[in-house]
Amino acid sequence: MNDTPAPNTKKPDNQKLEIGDDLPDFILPMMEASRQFIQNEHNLFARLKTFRPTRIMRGQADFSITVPADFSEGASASGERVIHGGIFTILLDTILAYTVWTRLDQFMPIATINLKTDYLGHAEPEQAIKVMAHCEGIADDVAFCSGKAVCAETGDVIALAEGTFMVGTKGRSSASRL
Amino acid sequence: MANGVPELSPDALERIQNDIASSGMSQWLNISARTEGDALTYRLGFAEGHIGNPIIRALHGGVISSFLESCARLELIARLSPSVRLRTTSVHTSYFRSSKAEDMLARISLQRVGRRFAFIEATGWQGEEDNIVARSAIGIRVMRTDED
Repeated sequence: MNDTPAPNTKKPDNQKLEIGDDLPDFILPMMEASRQFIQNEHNLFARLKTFRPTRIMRGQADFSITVPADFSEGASASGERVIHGGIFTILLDTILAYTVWTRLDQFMPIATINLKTDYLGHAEPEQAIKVMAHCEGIADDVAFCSGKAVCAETGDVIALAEGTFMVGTKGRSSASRL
Repeated sequence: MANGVPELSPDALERIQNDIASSGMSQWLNISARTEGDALTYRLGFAEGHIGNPIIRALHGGVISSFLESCARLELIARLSPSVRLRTTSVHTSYFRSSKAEDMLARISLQRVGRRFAFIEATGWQGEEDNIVARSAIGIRVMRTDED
């Protein structure tokens, strides 16, 4: 019996971006501007090892994410440090918002009305995580979204989220929301 | 001890400060707490990274939700035995109005603290206390030892 713990195996993150052919014109330039801001200026997202879209379709956005040990905390039942659940709340809110924009024909500012996050599991620092989110539809300027964060290797669910967003909020925004 | 809600521990603030010091996320959120009589008030110290939209400069919805959840956990840490382990299972946040690029304050209402589960309401505001920005319903699994 080998008592040596298995190494935290990580597969190379080389998945190409899959893009839907019916996306609104503004979405990819907006996401690129958002990515540049995130990587260069934002003091949370810039600290993520990975924050990269892998699939952007009408009403859907998938991201590949790796969270460093900076955002780990207290011990899990097994005594290991795990990523703070609040990170997943922030990531899911952000990516659910992206899915709303993929459903719009022109850019409009949006705001979270309601966000429910359920935490099923834990993520370890440096673990490859996949976030998959959908915008199911928009009714009377309210967008209905859902998503989940899973372990990229095993598919085990870490967190589930459901959110509603007000579309076309007041404000002078023409930039992306993080 | 209505609804199983324990009294505030005499070393509540020290416990809270120790927990914040051990959590990179709490430090990033820039959380602090102070006592007012037998109640605790929590503060999200504003930082640029808390902004959700750099143009309208409102706090990120996920940051608000994460802050309110952290406050709920800290409230239990301040009241339960140090040997109790906590695991958040659900956070459901409603956003009442737009937030501003400034500090947010929060207060916790423990609805019911059972042997295995706690139901908590967290209210966050900016400026006057009746200017509520968001409110969360939070469920936390409470894991006690036989001695607790």
